[in-house]
Amino acid sequence: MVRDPGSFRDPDSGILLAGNRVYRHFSADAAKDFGDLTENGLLASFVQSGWVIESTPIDRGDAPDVYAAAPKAALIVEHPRLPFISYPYEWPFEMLREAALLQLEITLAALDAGFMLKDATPYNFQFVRGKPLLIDIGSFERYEEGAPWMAYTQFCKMFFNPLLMQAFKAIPFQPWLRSSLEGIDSAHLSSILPLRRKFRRAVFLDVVLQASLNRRQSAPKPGDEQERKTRPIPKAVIVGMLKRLRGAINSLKRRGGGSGWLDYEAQCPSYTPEAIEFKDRFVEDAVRVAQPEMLWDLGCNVGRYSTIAARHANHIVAIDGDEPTVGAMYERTEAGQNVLPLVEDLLNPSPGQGWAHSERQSLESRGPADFALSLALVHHLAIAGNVPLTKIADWLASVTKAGVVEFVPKADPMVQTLLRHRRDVFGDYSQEAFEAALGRHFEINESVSIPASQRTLYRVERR
Amino acid sequence: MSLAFLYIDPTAGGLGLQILLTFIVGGFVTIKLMWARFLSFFSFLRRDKEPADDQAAPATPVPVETGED
Repeated sequence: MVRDPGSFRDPDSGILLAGNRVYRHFSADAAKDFGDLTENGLLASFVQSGWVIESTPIDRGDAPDVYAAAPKAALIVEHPRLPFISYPYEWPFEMLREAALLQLEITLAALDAGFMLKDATPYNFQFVRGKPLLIDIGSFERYEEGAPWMAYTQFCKMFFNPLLMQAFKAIPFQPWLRSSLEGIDSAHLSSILPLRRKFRRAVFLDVVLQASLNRRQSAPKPGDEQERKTRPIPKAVIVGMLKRLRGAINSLKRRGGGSGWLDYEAQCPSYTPEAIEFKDRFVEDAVRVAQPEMLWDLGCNVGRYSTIAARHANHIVAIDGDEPTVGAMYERTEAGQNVLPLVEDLLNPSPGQGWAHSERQSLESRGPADFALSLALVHHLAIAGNVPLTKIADWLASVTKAGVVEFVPKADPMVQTLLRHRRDVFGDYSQEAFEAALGRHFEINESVSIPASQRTLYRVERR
Repeated sequence: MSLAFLYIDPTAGGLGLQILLTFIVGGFVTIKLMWARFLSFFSFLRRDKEPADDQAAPATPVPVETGED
């Protein structure tokens, strides 16, 4: 039994992990809030709507070892284990927007029933079968009449400001959220927004005015805190803020949506229709034989092969570095499909970070996958990223147990495009060298040439 | 910059905004209430004058007959 390294900030609630089982412990106060939430049927209605994760209370007598791991716990509940934990800096615009809207919907419904959410962070959400799901039920607490919305600033920094930055300035929020785990400050966003955007109601109030009030806040004087505590905020004001933010976020559209990679499949000259059909069949057969629990599609583009693999693998994590492409993939993924699209630059994947480098896990430590598709990827890592073939094979062996790998030789038109504006310093880039590099870690069970192309597909299994 | 500034709760601006909105909403509600009182005061005056108005030409259009007579 171990404590989840990313769950330690809330003294009233936290996550315990035991093999494949996930538990949440509550303090006496939090257990009372959970009891109230269950009693009035709110939690059940959220679970039924697919908004909040299921929780099954565990009796102390039935699981003394679990209670022993959290001696101060008044109550422990069990959650279903999620197949993969992703982070907001790995989501495209569309996914963060959907999580933001769900946070607001849940807060509005909770407030209506006399509850509040103590925090508002996208780290409390995970995407399951294409939909966001609130996983932090410790976030609910009883609403006290007159209390402010304490999580308002956090909501702006973690949801609203990143979305605004991408929608109004076409700056992707992922690199910023990846280094600033507490989100984007309103003052920073305000300084880059164009003047005409600042006059929109939500932007003026929630970014410009909030930043200005933060700046103008004078040093606290004795009694200030008490005065702030006794100044009640009517519920109607909070509901108005929630609805205003919901309206503003609903109207946001991505900017910077164009990407050459969106049309890659239609325009790639390396494949004839027969070649595509051959590759589809090879991939599907390989996944059908492997029947993996977890499959990673590395360099997934708009997810053609993720969709094929989803017929035979239980969970797919589809990874690509091009944010608009991943956003389009999320929009196209059918509701209920077991595919999780993520933005990830494989030349610089998510590191372990946050407190003690363990609060947010690296991509690698969330693996290895049972099976990986690495289709038309190796030449990008090797030629665009200057990564030697041996290092690519080492890395593949660290992230998957088996898979299908495609090798694209130098003579291929797409590799020629990569080499067009640069000196060819890739003397070691050859099929023989790649097979030798793969062979250091994997058994090559099958290798086939794709018809009417010079590309080769390998079905491999780690030794 | 005052050293104390560095120790301010980062949600101070957010709380300040909620307090400001409370004042604004409170102000609107007060104005609305006062306006309603103002109107009801004049409607009271109008009701008081109604018998006298019966003899004079009506200042406002005569209400449409409902046919209840």
